[in-house]
Amino acid sequence: MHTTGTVASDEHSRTDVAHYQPTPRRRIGLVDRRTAQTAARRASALVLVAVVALLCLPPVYFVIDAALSGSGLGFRQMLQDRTLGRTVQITITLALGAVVISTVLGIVLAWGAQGLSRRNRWLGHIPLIPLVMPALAAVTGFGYLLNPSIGFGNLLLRKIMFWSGAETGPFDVNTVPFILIVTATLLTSFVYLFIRSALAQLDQGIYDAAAASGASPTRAFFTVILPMLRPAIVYSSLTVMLLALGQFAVPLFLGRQENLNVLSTAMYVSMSASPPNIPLAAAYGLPIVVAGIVFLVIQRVVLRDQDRFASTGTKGAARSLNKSGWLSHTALIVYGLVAVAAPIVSVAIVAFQPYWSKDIVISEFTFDNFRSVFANPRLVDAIGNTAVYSLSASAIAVPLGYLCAKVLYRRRQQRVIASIVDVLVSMSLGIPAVIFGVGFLLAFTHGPLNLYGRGAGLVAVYVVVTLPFITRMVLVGMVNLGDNLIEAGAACGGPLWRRILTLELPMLRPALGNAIAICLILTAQEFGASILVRSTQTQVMSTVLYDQFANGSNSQVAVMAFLMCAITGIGVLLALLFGRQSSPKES
Amino acid sequence: MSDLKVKDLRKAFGSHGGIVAVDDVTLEVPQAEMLVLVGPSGCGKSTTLRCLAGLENPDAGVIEFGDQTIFDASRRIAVPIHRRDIGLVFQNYALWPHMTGWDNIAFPLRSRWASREEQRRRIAAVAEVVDLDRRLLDKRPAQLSGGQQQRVALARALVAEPKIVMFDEPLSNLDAALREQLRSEIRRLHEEIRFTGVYVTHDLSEAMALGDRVAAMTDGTIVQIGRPEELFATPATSRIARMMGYRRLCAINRGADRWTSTDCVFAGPAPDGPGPSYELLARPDRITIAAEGTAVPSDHEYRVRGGVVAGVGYLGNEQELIVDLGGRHLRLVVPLGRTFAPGDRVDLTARPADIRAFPLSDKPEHPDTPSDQETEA
Repeated sequence: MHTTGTVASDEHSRTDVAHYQPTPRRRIGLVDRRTAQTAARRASALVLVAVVALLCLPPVYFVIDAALSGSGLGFRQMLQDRTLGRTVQITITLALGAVVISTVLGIVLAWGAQGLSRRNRWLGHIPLIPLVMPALAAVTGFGYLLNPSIGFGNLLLRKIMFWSGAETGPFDVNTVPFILIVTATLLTSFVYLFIRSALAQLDQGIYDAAAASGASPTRAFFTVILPMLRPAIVYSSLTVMLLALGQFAVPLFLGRQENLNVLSTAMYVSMSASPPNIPLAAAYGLPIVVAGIVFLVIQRVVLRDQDRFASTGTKGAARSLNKSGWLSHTALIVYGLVAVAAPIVSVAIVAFQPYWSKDIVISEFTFDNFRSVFANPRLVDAIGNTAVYSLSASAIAVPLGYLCAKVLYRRRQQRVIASIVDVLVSMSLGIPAVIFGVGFLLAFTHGPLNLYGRGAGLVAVYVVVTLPFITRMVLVGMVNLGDNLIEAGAACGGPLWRRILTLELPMLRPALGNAIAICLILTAQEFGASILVRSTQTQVMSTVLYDQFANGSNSQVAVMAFLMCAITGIGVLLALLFGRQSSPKES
Repeated sequence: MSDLKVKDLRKAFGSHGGIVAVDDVTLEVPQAEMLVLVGPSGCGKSTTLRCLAGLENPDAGVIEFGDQTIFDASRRIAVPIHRRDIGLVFQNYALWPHMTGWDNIAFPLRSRWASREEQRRRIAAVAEVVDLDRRLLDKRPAQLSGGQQQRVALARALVAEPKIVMFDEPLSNLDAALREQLRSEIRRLHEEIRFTGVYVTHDLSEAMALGDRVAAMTDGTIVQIGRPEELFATPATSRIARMMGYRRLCAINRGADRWTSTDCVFAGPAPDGPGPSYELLARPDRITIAAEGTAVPSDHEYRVRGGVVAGVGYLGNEQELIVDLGGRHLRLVVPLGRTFAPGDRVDLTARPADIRAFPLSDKPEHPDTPSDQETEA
């Protein structure tokens, strides 16, 4: 393109145009081999597959190997265990019960939140808090709340209701129904998250059309909205099923007193025996591994034909036409009080009480428990270790997740490789962390790399556990970003490195920020795998908290839980600030 | 600036290449010419452009920019997009939201390692050319209106003086008034800078206004290429004719001794050609309407009898008539003055010079081909 001397019309000629000079031309190579480009892309993807496979496959292999070793010795021992029936029964009860309760509660809360007025929209964030709230803090909080003799909730109920004469109850948190209720309450957040997102995608016209056709809000909800939410309901209930099947912290903390085990805690008990019964532990874990893989396959199959659930329109999220919403306000507030406020307040009370007591005297509140925690070098080391391991895991997992997301986003170009990456990355989503803990422990002690007792071992575990979340988050960011903006960079002559550094990464900043935040939060709270892989030199906050719990040091447990909540809260706030500042507006 | 040559370009999608999007496209764009690819959606025009830009790898064919081969499937040459030295204006502008207008425009220069001084000079010049206020350059895309964003996108495509400038339906996201304004701006820019351009659109008026030549595409192939007035006056196929605004008047069949029509009463000269049946198309603005039996019969015109006015609409200084021709509706816009009412029986006439006859084929119409019931006069 040149302009000098070729201006078509005098009235359009301008001084600046007349000074148009040729830009410095970069030398353009005459020949580029498509095969070379494809081969380079494929080779780098294969390297990535190898790295992810090396991280994710060995633990699963070692669990399966240990379960099948000695001609099924572990399985024979498991079948001889007299408590096996009870353990399986509790596991299934927990899984199915949690699915039913969480799904119903999650849908009700999500639909309720959809009808909130602009002023009260903040209430819609309440059901998401348990996602970032440390599970151990919540569980210990429920323990302090519903302990049959001195649980604060029971004390309150006995005081204001007709059980005033009783010395215990009315509730006992150390029973199967309450283990189920606590688990379901915490897992409701997942259902709520998925259903809220699905509702946000629905066009309001869908609801309006039903209402205009004479359907009452209830009929419109059940006949139009609910069927449209089917993919989200299936996805979220299968996710809850998976998480409940592998649930570890709640049954371990609440079922320990009454010796109530699920498969994952039975596995942990076998591993904690002296000497550890590895075949038995692996045999307990294998059914969960198989169930996890089956559920992942079902999820993929069920969600394959999603198009018929996609709505097209322009009006945004479906919203209840009658916006009275008192019921939704109440539901959200009650959930917030029961699932969030009550356990955290209970933890705080015990942390500030001189010792856990049924008499709450604010004037006697003290920082002594905090002082004793910070005076204990083991606990301080654990806090430091948590920070170092979390940051290290984030530094590895976020770039790795970005690369995995990149391969998945370019699925059309590398179908086979993308499918392998998808399966590898999803593995830790389907297989509970506690099983990965056992697998990593075996891999570290039996494999070529002896990472047991080293920080690097915990970091490797954290990378695997957080990889699916990071990959999905970055992938969603990439999908939202689309191709055009990056293609525009290529069309402008930007080489790959410039496109990535100056266009893609800055535009993905909100997604990457969220990924870092979720990675830090998950790793700072991680318990299921850490409890198995830790050593005395590599204690983290969650494992120290459990040790204190096992020793009966309630006050120090409360302080550790309180600190975990505070650190998580600060992390979430920073992530929100980062996301808000960096979120570029779409053009 | 460079000329563009494309030979036997082919691109298919689907697991076994079953969906052919671009089918043996061959074209040449001389230096400083603007070629417009026009056609209904799904005809392969955007895929052709994406192949030229390097956003898609064609399955076969050769693409040359000047004397440089940038793609040749048989020799396995494929210069990647960022080394093709092109400018590309996207349908949705594709401005980077985290960068200011200045940074957006500077990106192609930075990618070519231009000095800061060079960047300043060239951005100032191109902003002047696209009529972009310098103060807007410090704003981010979200702070700019649609028209301003499109000017930034134009400036970004032009600033590095690329060999070829490509436009992928750049005006389709704008409202009608702004679209017309920017259309004439692009025309002015092209006349001023004389860049070699390839412009993709489905809008016929855009194609006519902007193209030095227009290539009409259907089913992945270029059916006709020529100056806009050539395509307008002598469309090569009935589909192109429909794209140009022609609508079916009637179909006629060769009988033993005369032409007959199944869907209208037909009188007029027979078309030249050996085919057994033809459809006769005319532009609605060249069709005369009269009450049945009032026009003087003539052998030097085509006359379709038996039309019934199905609807009348008032358009201000004109009126819209929907005429039912044996179940087909033809929309005509005629001057005010003659009063018609629904149910009136009318005759439609057209001069042989305004009629285009095309052999009738059994092939079903493409779903995106304008139907006779969507006529714009």
